[in-house]
Amino acid sequence: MATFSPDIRRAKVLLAGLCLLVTTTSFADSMATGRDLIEKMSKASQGLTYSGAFVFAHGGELETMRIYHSYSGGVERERLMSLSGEAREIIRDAENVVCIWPGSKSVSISKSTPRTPFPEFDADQLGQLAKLYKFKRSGMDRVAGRKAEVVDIRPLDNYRYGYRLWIDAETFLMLRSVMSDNRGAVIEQVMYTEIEFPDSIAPELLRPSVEGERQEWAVDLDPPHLVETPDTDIPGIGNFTAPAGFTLMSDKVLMLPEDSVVRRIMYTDGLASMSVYIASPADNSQSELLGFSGMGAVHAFGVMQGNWHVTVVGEVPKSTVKMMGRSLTLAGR
Amino acid sequence: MKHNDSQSLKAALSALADNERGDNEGMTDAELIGLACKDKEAMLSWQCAHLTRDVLQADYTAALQPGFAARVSAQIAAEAPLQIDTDYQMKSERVVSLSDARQRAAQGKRARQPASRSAVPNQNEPFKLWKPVAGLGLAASLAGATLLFSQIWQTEKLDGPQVAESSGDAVTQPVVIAETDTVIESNDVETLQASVHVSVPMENRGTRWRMDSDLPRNEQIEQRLNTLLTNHLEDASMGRVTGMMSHSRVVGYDSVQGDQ
Repeated sequence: MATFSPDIRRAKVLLAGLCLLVTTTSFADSMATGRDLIEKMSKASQGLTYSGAFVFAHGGELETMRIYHSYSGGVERERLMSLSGEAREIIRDAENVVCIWPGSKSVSISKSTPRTPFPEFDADQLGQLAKLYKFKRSGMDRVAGRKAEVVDIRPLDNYRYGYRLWIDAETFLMLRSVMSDNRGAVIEQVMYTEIEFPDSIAPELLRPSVEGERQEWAVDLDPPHLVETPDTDIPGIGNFTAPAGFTLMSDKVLMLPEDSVVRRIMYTDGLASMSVYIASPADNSQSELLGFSGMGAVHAFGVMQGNWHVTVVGEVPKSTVKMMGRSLTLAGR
Repeated sequence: MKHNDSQSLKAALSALADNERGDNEGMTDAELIGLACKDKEAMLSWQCAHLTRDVLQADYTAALQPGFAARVSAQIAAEAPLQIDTDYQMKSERVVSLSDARQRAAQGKRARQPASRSAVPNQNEPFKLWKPVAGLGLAASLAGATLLFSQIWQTEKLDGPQVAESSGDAVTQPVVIAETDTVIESNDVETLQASVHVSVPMENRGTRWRMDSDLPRNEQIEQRLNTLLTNHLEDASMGRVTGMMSHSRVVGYDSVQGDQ
């Protein structure tokens, strides 16, 4: 084994300390700048008027969609529609989210939630986030003919997904997003192939394409809506085990048109979110999930807790909804 | 869990590839890989899972090994949607009955079903990337068949074999259906083509919720999950960044129906 004089040892310790300091500082900087970019993206997605076509890739399949987003007088109006297969679409405004499924001739209307900007984190919260994700700016690229800055958000465990985001250098709108697991395996991605930023969007482009035909369709006329700070008999969550960093974000009651009331308790780690829906058993028990289901990056787990049915849903890995769903117990208010 | 059969071994490898193996699976990851090394099919499955990941990540360098194109060609040839060519070649086959056709459809459908319903790309998924290309060929074939059929119908007013409409339920691939066991002469191509009814692989109720393999598909549950997901995305943190793009999963159409 090599031996060093005390002076050389001291110099090595000093150098190591200096490296650690530089690394820590640059890491904090990258966290802050990464977060800063995300906050700007959040504001851009809500406050800009734009229209474009994008592709949605998942599980080896590719779909094309068109989006219209209008922001005028402080009001957002948006329309998303599929350009391939069945012409499904979602129209969202300040009051409602309307989902149209022409295949089953059904329309579902739910109350929209006023969009708020991405929450600003203080230093402590940024520190917490740094234990869960690694942020990194990865240079410039080009998407849909526009210059974009690339930001990597890598999860540090298996319980959440990572993102590579391409952010428009001029407007800060997200132009491309790749969602991956903690080893970098791609789960889903969306990417604009064309985008423009007109001054305004014609009102007819924000209306459903099948409006005239909907008269004979099944429409939920009593839109589900959320009630803040619920006064309800539906139990809340007592004990649970969740991956590190997930904390309570909101507790609301969702009024459904048919079978009444569902309580929704949402948890987030700052980026990833999952909701726990607690409902009394529906009249038609066929509509309740028991076990796992998944759709791309979204996973759901349903289980009975006494007479209550619990569904955990989120853009998180299967292992995360599994941990939450299997561990939680219900508790009265 | 012991993995005595190839299917459960492949499922376990798929879970391992997706990092979704539980803590108590009865076998360590190392033991599982050791077992896979002794099974050629499992090895292929494992390689395909990685190939899928590499292709999806656009890292083709490691994926495109010698023989890759040949394997893809072979797989495409085995894919059910391309059986339209086989159906076209049925001029050399003698009898096409309704029951035969239904059986063919069922076999083809089973062949197209993924081994696992998880979000993990399975070994067939790399080849789904080729389906749009195959679909173009299929569309061209369909157009040709339809044109020829309509021309013959208009000019000759054939009273030949009637065409049985396929019911919409779960027919997800082209099917050749004739009503009777009429013997069709091998050289009577026009008559055969007039009898051919091809259903475009479309199904109007597709969503892409994938239930666990032991759970039957249930449209009501899917609709319910769509409602809950739409509601969840309204408040989800990343939804504030991605906006309406988060709803792509709900709006999107599952054009490749491998489900029940």
